[in-house]
Amino acid sequence: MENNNILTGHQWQPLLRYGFDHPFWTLHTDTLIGTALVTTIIIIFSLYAHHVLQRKKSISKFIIIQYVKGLQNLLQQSLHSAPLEHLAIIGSFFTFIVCCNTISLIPYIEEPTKDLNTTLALGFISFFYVQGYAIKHSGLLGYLSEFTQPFILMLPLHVIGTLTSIISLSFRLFGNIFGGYIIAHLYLNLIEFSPITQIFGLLSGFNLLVSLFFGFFEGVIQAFVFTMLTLTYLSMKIVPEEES
Amino acid sequence: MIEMMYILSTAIPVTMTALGAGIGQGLIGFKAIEAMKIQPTASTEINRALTIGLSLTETASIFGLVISIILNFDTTIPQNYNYAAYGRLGLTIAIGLSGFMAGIVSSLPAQAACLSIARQPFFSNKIMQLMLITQTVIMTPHIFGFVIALFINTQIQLVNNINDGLKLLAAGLSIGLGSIGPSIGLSLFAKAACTAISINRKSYAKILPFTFISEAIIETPAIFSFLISLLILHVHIPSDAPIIYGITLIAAALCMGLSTLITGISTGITGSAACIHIGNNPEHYSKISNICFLALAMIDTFAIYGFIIAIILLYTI
Repeated sequence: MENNNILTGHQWQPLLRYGFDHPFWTLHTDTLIGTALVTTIIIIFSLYAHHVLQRKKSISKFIIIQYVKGLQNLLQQSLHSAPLEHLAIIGSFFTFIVCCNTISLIPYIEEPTKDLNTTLALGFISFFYVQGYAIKHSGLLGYLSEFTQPFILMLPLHVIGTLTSIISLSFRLFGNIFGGYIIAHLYLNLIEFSPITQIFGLLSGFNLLVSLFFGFFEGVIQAFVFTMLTLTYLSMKIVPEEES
Repeated sequence: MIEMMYILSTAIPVTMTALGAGIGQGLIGFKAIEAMKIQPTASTEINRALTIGLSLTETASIFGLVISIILNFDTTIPQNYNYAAYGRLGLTIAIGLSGFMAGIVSSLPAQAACLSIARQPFFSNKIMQLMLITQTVIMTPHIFGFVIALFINTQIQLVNNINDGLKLLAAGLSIGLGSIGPSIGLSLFAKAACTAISINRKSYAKILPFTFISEAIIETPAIFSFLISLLILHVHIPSDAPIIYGITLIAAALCMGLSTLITGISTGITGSAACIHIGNNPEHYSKISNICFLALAMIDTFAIYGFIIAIILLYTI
């Protein structure tokens, strides 16, 4: 029961014969395969990095150390106190989203982030991490009293403003990656009609330009935006203590 | 009256885009001469920036010209002139509005770059690089409009009831209205970035990554409008459906297009203020950029609300 569409991708309903035809029981196979592949790549890369770091001199070791140092610098610039505590989650976000956005450079694999379910999950993780850290940082009472800061009437505004961050993070990532995916797809549909356009696209480098821009450049920038926004939400929760 | 629109629409794309590009190019020339008056020794550098800026602004009208030529050589007869005219109206809105705005606003970074080169003639290569990048990014909403116009053109011959005509009109409205705000915002930001480099040339290393991230956020509403346009074009309406189906699509398009309007302009104003501050004191980059990204994300949320409501409206059909 596979059906393919440019807007929804491959879908599979394994329980259809038992009467479960609600969309909840639908599996998005592209997303699942992409996510599994990304996770495998990251695990293999981490094991390799662990292996490489024991060497004395190596170019790979230098690259890995520079990558981690860059993330540390980013954290130290944005957060005022205890920055390296969050290196694990921020680094994981950045690495995972970059790999997800650029995985479409491999043929027949599509980005998991063009599915709203993936980006919503990422948004929820970011939201719960930030709020959980705020509760741990200032205590449950202090956390709740922040919602009624100037006076009690501001409570609904604060609640809505906090919940907005999920929508803001997840829909921004989804919209950008999905838009880039559709544009790249339309371009491929456009050139596949005749061999002349295919050869022209191949030789002039226009194919490479399109796939590099929408596959690589846009993906890295959106991953960076997601990470920066999570960091900014985190830093808002930390600043008040520094002032007092 | 509405049949007349079908014929008139071959002329409107090139007229609107030429209007915008003409205004923009005039402003660039004016500022370039002003810059040469300030710094006559830098005339070769200013000349180069002027030529590049003029040719990039010209791109806006070239897209309109291509659409007009395609419409002119199109000899196929639609099934129903009356309803196909609605589709042509959507096509002219998609290419005309976005092209008009792109022509005017893509001149702003070029103007700022000319004045900046007059102030820092030995730094002209970096300034021109930034101008090229920002002008290319400003063109993206117009390219979206061009793509949508081409899609509408392929569907016009199939129109045979009022709902199909309104569908094409809605697709054009969404991207046409949606490209105005983001392109104004992008251009305001680009102008500030080109000015900020001339204030302090050491800030270039900070301004360049800041430009990429901020322009990605400012441009997000335009991508949402483009997505809604494509989703509208993919909607399938049964031929005997009541007119309310078409009006729902128009409502979704207006919801998306108008919600991006002020969002784009305000994000541009916020980003440009941050850019000028970074130019004035680059050592405060991390604090300024933190606040700026937070503000940009908050303002962008309204476009996301419009996007969600538009999607919900589309899925009620």
